Amino acid sequence: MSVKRNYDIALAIALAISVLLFLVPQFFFLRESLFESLGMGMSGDTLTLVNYRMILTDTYYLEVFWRTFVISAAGAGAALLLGYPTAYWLTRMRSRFVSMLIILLLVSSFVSIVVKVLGLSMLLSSQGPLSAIINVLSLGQWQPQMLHNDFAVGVGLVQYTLPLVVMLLFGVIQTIPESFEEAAIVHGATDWRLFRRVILPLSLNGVLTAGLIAFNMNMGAFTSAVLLGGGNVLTVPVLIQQTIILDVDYPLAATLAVLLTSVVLLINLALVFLHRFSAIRQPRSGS
Amino acid sequence: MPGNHRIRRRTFLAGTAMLAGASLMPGLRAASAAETIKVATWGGSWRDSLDKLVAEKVREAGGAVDYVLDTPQGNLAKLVAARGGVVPFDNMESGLELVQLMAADRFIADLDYSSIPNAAALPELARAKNYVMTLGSMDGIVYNHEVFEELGIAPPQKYSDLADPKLAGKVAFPDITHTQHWNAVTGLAYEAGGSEADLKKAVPLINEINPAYFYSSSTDLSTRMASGNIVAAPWHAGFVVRLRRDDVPLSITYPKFGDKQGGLWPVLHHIVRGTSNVEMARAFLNAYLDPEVQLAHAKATGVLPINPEALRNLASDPENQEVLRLDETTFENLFVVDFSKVDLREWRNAWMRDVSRG
Repeated sequence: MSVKRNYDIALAIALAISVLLFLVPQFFFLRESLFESLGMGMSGDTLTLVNYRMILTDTYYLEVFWRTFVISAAGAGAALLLGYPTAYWLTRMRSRFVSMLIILLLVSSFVSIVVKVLGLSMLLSSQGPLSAIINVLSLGQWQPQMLHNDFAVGVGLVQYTLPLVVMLLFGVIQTIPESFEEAAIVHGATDWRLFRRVILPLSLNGVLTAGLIAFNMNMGAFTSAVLLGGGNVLTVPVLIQQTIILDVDYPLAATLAVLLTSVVLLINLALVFLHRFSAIRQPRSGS
Repeated sequence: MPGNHRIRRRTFLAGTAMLAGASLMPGLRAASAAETIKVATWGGSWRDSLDKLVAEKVREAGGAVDYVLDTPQGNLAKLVAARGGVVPFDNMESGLELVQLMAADRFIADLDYSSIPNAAALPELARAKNYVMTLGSMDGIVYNHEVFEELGIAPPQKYSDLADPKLAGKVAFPDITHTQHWNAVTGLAYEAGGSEADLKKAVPLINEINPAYFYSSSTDLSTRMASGNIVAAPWHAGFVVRLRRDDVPLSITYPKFGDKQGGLWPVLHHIVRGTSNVEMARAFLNAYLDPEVQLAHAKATGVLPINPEALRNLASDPENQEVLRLDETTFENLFVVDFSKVDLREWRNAWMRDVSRG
C-alpha cells in the first residue's frame, strides 16, 4: 500500500512538472498572440484578435496548415504501416537476438535528428545511391527528384518517428497471447482474417496511441522540413521560425504556435472521441 | 587506507555550495566576462579564418573570443530577444539590409574611431556612424564548368540564364535569410527591366529558374556543389576560391546591373550597444582592419579587403586573381543594392507567397 502511494506521489510530481512546462509557455504564447505587432519584437498594449483574423482569413496560412497536416498524417500512417509488421515480427521472434534488435532500435532513436536527416539527404540526392539504382533500373530514362520536396520531408518524418512507433507497438502486441492466434488458426482463420479479427482489434488502442504520438511529433517537426525541404516545403514550424527571424513579429509567431497547438489538441480529442464512440456503438460479440 | 582519502558528504556539499556561491558573486562574474568577447558571425571556413587571424590578436592581448554562428538575420533576432537583458554577443557582422532596422532600434553602438586606429586607412565609404565595412564579397553566378561543358551550355552571363531546361533540378538559389539573396534578386529585377525599387519583377524569372533548392547556408551549398548535386547558383567568388582548393571545378561570371558588372556585398561590423566588453570589442575590430590580417583573411576566404594596401597586395595572389576582378576601380565598378529604395516588407511577402516551390 505504501509502495503504491509512493508511486502515486512520484507520478503526480512528474505530471505536475510536465503540465507546468506545457502550460506556462502556452500561457505566454496565448497572451502574446492577443496583441498587435509594432515591429522588431515589440507589441501593442490593446487586446485584439487581429492576428487570428489575419491567419484564419488568409489562404496562404491556411494552405501551410493544410500542408503540415497532410505531410504529418501521411508520415504517421507510413510509420504505422512500416512499424506494425516490424513490431509484430519482433514480438513473435524466438531468437536471442530480439533484445539486441530492441536495443539497436532504442539507440537509433537517440541519434540526433540532424545526423539522421543529413544521412537521408545523401541517400535521396540526385547523386545518391537510390537515385543511381532507379536510374539503372529505368535504363537511364528516369532520374527522380527525391530531395527538397514534400516526399523527402515525409521520409524524414517517418525516419524520425519509426523507432518510437515500433517500440510502442512492440509493447502492445507483446500483451496479446499467442494462444489466441493459435485458436483462430485451429478454427480455420486465414492470415488476413486472423489479423483483421484478432490481432488488430486487440492492438487497436496501441495503434491509435502510436499513430497519434507520431502525428503530434510530425506536426511540430522542424529539422526535417528545413533540411530535407530545402526551402521548398513550408510547414507551420518553419513559418513560425521565419516569422521570428525575418519579421521579428512575435505576436504573429505566437498566434501560429497557439493555432498549431490547438489544431493538434483538437485532432487528438476528436480521434479519441471517435474511437470511444465507435467502441460503444459496436455490438460486442457474445461468448 | 581508503577511508583516509574519502571526501565526506558534508565536505563535498559545502565545497559545492561555496563554488556555486562564488560564481554568483557579481564581481567575479564581471571579471570572467570581461576576458571573453562573443562575436556573431557566419560559420565554416569564415569563422575558422577569423579565429585564426583576428581572434589571435585578441588572445595575444590577454582576451578570448567565442562565436555565435548564424546568419545576420538570425543574430539580429537574438539581439531583439535579449532586449533589456544581457546582450548575447559583443561584436556582430551583418549586411546593409539590417543596418536601418538595428540603428532605428538602437541595437548597435556608435563607433569611436579614435579607439580604432586601423580604420583611419579605410576609404570614406567604409566608415559609418555605427558600422565599419570590413570586407566585401564579389557576387555573381557560380557554376561547375565541367558539367556545363558536358551539357553543352555556355557559361551563364545573366542570372536568368539559369532557367536553361538542361539545368532543371541542379540550380540552387539563395534564400531570403542569406546575404547573397539581395544581389541575386536585384540582378534578376534589372534583367526584367526593374531595379531594387521593384523587386517583384524578379519573381517570374525566379519561377522560371525553378530552383531545386533555396539555400540558407553557404557551408551546406558547398557540400552540394562538391558532390555535384547542385551545379550552379547565384553565390560569391569566395567559394570558388575555397572549393577549387578541393579540386571542385567551379567558375564564376559576373552579370550586369545596368552599367555596373558584378555585385558587391559589403560585410559590416558592429559593436553591440550595451556590451560590457567595449575595449575588447574595439580591439577585435581594430585587429580585423589590420592590413596584414585583412590580406590574409581575404586570401583565405576569397573576398575583397577594404584596406587599400591589402586590396593592392591581393591582386598579386594567383589563387584570387583568377577569380576576383581586382584593379584600382574594383569597388567603383561593382553594384551595391540601395536599401533605401527596397520595400523589405513587400519583398518578404512576395518571396513567401509568389515564389513557386517544389
